[in-house]
Amino acid sequence: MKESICEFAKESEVRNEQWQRHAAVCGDCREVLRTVEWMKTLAATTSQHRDTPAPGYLVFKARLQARVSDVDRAALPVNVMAIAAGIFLIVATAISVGFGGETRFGSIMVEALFLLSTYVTVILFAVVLVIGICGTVVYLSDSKTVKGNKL
Amino acid sequence: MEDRLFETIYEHTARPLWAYIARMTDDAPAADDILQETYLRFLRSSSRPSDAVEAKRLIYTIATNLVYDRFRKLKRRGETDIAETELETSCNVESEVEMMQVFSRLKEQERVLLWLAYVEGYDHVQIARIANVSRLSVKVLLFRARKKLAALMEGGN
Repeated sequence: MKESICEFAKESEVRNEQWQRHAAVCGDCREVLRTVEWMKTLAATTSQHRDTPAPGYLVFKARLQARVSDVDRAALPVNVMAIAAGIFLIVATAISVGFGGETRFGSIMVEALFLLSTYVTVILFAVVLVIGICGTVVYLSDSKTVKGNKL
Repeated sequence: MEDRLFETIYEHTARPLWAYIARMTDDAPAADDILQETYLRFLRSSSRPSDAVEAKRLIYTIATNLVYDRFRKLKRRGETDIAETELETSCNVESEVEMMQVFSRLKEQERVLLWLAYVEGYDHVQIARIANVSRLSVKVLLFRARKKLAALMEGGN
């Protein structure tokens, strides 16, 4: 690289009168000065009268996004548990249907399902209760994080 | 961050930042989107500085990263030739259009460095932090960019 040979050729010195006098006789500095002037003109011609959003709107939107991400984060364990339970049920059903009486595990699963079906009311009640508890926990943790979240 | 402090920072930085993003992207609607996303990320940032100078530097860093992300996306899609948009239509004088055409012939990194150095007046250390390049590279790249711009201004290739 051919580095600028003039030590004065620094962008920060552009407004310095002494530097500007020097630039009249120095090629490198003249180039810097010309570039700076050109860039300033370009910046001035770029439409700066365009409407930008109100700062209050941005603050509101940022808070809203933070709240949504907090809710998502709080609900993550519940969602993971729900997915894991769903996968387990699907696998268990597939095994029990596919290998009903042929394998030991399959026959145990069939027996277990048969046994569970006699307590279907109790199980439904328990499921509703668990969902209610999880919902309450998520709601409470969400309201705590939102209160504590000040941007 | 206090709302009033943010409002002050926003009022001082929003329009110059829009001009910077618009010049880098050559796309006014994209500049609107990037501007908004920049401030949203700034507000959600956990390491928000309280003084205005550092806040401005962080805002320009976020904006520069978003501009580079956009370049990468366009390159991946094969849209290397960025369409001229309403930025051009806002210009009435022919020489202004020519200036914009000259500037758009520079590489994205060259445009970023030239703008940060000569319009925003950042020094090499600050440019290195904003554009995520080493301090020594800034010096070299800026020198080359300036030479290239000078050649383009002369009407060369």
